[in-house]
Amino acid sequence: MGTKAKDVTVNNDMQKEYEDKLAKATTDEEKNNLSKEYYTKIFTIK
Amino acid sequence: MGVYNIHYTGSMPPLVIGKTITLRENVNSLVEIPNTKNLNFLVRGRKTNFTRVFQATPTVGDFDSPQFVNNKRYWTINLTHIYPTSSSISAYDNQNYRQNFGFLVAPVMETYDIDLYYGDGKSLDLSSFTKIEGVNIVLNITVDKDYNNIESENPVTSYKEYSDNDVVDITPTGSSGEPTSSQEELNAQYGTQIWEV
Repeated sequence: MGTKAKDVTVNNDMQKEYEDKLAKATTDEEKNNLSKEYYTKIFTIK
Repeated sequence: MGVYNIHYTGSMPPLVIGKTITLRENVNSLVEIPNTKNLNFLVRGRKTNFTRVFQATPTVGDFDSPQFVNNKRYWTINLTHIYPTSSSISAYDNQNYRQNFGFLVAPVMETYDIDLYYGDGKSLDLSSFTKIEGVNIVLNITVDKDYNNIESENPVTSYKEYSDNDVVDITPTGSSGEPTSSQEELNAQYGTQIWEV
């Protein structure tokens, strides 16, 4: 059952950009697309 | 059925905010479902009764079209815990990050019982999901006192004694993945710890 923990790293600039765009998004679809687009831009798992 | 540990120690690079572990669970022996379902975790802290619902991170694909790599013995399911500093709590302990990024922001020095639910589509509303009976995952999260980068921001826990000892398991209702404070009763149960930020 052993598993190695990986670090989650954040890109603060990208996160700010995401939050800014999220605040302006009006529809759920728009917000969902932003989350999808920014997930790998903001966070790195390794 | 597995027991897992997340241990924070030493110095952490400034931009590291948490850890991801891969659970290996024998889902195929419990339920016959395709490995492209959305999976939700329901976690409950044994000491604090801290309860959250959040999405499991797929091993392939994204949260909209998840895929969990598996074989006859186990599924690989990723779980992400974000270290609970005051800033990360305000940034990530909300429905958006639980649902779209699979983040759990939860107290450390705690042992969590975890149930697994499956369903279709991204949602934290467990009424539209089905529990996989018999999974019974245990996650222990600990931190060393020399965990220097963010120790000063550690939330503190304290005990308070009440006469009404009625800690009960709860399953959050609604779509936020978070119980209401009256449901969770973090500060009104005999023998539970109180989590303050």
